[in-house]
Amino acid sequence: MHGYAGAILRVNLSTGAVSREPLTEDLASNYIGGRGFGAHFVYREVPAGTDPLGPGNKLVVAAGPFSGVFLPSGAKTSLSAKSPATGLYGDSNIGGHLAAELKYAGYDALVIEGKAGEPSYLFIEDDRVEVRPCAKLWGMGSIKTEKALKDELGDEFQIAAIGPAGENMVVFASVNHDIGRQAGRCGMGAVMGSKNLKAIAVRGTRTVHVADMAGLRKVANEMFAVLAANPALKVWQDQGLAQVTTWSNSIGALPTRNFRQNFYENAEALSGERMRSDIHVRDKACFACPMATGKYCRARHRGETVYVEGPEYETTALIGSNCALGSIEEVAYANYMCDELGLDTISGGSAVAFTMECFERGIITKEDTGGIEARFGSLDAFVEIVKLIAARQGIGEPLSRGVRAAAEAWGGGSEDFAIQVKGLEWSGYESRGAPSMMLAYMTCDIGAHHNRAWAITHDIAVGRNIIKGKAAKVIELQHTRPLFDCLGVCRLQWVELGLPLEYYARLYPAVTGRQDSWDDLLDKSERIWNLVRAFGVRERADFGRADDQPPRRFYTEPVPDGPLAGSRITREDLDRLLDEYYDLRGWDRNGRPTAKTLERLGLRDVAAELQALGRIS
Amino acid sequence: MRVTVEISKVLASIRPGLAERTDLDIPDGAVVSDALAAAGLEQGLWGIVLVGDRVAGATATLSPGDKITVLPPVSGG
Repeated sequence: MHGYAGAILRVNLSTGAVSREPLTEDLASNYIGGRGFGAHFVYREVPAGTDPLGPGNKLVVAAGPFSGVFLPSGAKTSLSAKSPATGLYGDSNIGGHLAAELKYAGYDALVIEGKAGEPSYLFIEDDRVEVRPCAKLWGMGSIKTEKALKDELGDEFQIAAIGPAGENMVVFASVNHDIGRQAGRCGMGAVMGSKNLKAIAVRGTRTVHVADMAGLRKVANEMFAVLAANPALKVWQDQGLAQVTTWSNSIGALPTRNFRQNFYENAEALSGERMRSDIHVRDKACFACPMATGKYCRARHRGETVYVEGPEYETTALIGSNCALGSIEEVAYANYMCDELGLDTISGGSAVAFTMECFERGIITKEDTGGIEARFGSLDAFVEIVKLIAARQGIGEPLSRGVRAAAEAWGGGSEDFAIQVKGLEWSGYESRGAPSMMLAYMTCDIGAHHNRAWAITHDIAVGRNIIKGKAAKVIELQHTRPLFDCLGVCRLQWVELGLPLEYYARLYPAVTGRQDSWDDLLDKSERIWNLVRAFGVRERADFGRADDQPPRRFYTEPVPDGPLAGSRITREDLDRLLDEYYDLRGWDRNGRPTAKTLERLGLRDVAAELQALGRIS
Repeated sequence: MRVTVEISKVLASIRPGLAERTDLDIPDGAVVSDALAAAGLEQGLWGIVLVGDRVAGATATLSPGDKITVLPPVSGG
C-alpha cells in the first residue's frame, strides 16, 4: 500500500504474543494514520470502564503516510490510549525520528496490550520483535534510559522511554524520545509504566514505497525551496518556539502565577532572544526538517550543570511565567528536571503553580509540603515539588493525579483555580480576552490543549469581545490542525512559515495514490473528531456539556493587570459559545453527537452502539 | 512614499478580506508598524516582519519602494 509500511504490529506484554496484521484499505483510507489510527484502535478495542492504568488499556504508537517520506518534516508519531489524566481518549504526538524508523521497520502502528511481568522494553529490528527484561533501567531518568539503550543497541535505534514518573504512574507522565523531545500530554508515560514498559527501541532497514515518486519529488522540492527562500526561517532556526513568549505577553495571553494574570512583568528575561544569547548550545532538527526548532541548552543551578533540549514556549509559559521564575536559565533547569523525571512540562508546571498559589493563600502549609517554602519565584521549591510528584510522596501524591484531583483533596476553594478542562491541565494561552481560544480549550477533545485549534489571532482579527461567530473558526481549525497529526507530518511549516496547505493536498495523492481532495481529508478529520467524542459518550452516562467547562477563575475574576486589565468572559458568554459550537457540529445541547451526525460521517455502527446505550438520540 | 505589504496565506485566512498584496502611500519617515496599521494589521496579528529579505522590528524606518512581508504570529505548535 503506497505511503504505508503495510502492517500493524500487535504485542501482548502479558503473554509475550506478537502478531502482524495487514494494514487494511479501510483503516488507511478512513483514518489516514497517526492519531486517526489511535482513535480507531482505542475506540474499537478499549471498552467502557477499562482502567486506564490496567492491562486492558492499549497503547497505540502510530506513524502516518507522510512519516519517513522525503518531504518537510514527516516526523510525527502519535501515542494514543485511554488517558489516566482524563479517563477519556487521549493522545500526544512527538517529533524526532521514531515514526520514520517505525515505518522502515515495516510497521505503521504498534498496538501494545497487557502488562509485562517484570520491567521490560520492546525491541524491534525489522521482523525481530522481542520483549526484553530491563530491571537495570527501572528507576533511571528518561533521557539517561535513552542514552543507555543507544549505548547498548547502537545509535541507529530510535528510542522512546519513560522516567520514574511514568513508572510510578503519575497521570501526566511523558514519553521521551530523541534526547529531549516529549509526548507530554495525557499521561502516555503512565500508560507505559502501568504496563511495566520502560522503553520502545526501533530500528528499520526497509523503505516506504510511494505512488508517484516523480510527483512527490517535485512537490517536496518546491516546498523545501520555498522554505529555504523564506528569510524568516533564520529566526526559527535561531530561537525556535521560544520566540512566542514576548508576543504572547504583549497581547495578554502569557499564563502568569497560576493563570491569575496573563502578563508577566519579567517576560523579557524568558524571551527567545535570552535563550539564544544566554544558554543556547546548538540547534537540533527532527526528521527532514529545515526549521531546526530544537534548541539544545545548558543550565547551571547550585553547582550542577545540565543540558536540555528546550525550553520552548509551552515550557517557558507553564514553568517560567506561571511559576514566576526569574530567568530562562532557571526555566531550562526546571525543564531538565521534568524531562529526566518524565513529567509533562505543561501539566507539571501547572501543578507546581497551583501548589504555590495554594501555599500563598494558606490552603496548604509547610507542614503539608514537608517544609518546602512553596512560593512563586522559587526554583528550589519547583525542583522539590516535581521530585515529590514523580515519587508520589507527600504533597506529590495528590498532585500526581493532576490539579483537579489535588483541588478535591485540598479544598479551600482551590477548585476555582485548578486550571484544567476534563482533568487535563491548560496549556500556554490564558484566554479571558480571547473567546475563540477559550472555546478551543473548552472543547479540545483531549482536555485543555492548544494544538487542536490555536485561535487567538482570530479573536484579535475579528474582535476580542465578540462571541457570535467564533465557533465556526474553532471547528475549522479542529479539523485542519489534527489532520497533520493523522498524516504524520509537522504543521509548523504551515502555521509558522506560511507554507500553503495546497502543497500538502498535492503531497497526499503523490504519496498514497489516493485521489482524496483536501476537503475529503478534512471530512475524515471530522469523523475522527466525532469518534473521539463518542468515546467519552460511551464511557460515561453523564459525559457532556459539564465536561466542556473552564475553571471558575476565568469567568469570575477579571484580569488584574497588563494590556487586558479588567477584562473577563461571562458565564453567559461561555454558554453562548458552547451552544453555537454544538449546533454547528450537529451535536445536541448537552454536547453529544446526534445519531444523524454520526451516520453522516460514516459512523453508523457507533451511532447504533450509543443509541442502544440510550446515550444519544 | 509608496511601499508594498505582502501577507502570507495563513495570515490572510485569519482575517478574510485582507489582500495578500497591498500597495500603500505612507508619509516619509514612516516605520513598519505604521505601514502595517495602514494595511489593516494591528499589533498582535503579525509575527515576523521582513523588509526586503531582512527581518525587521516594528520601529524600523521604511524607505520608498520597500517590500514588507508579514508572517502570522507564531502559534506555539
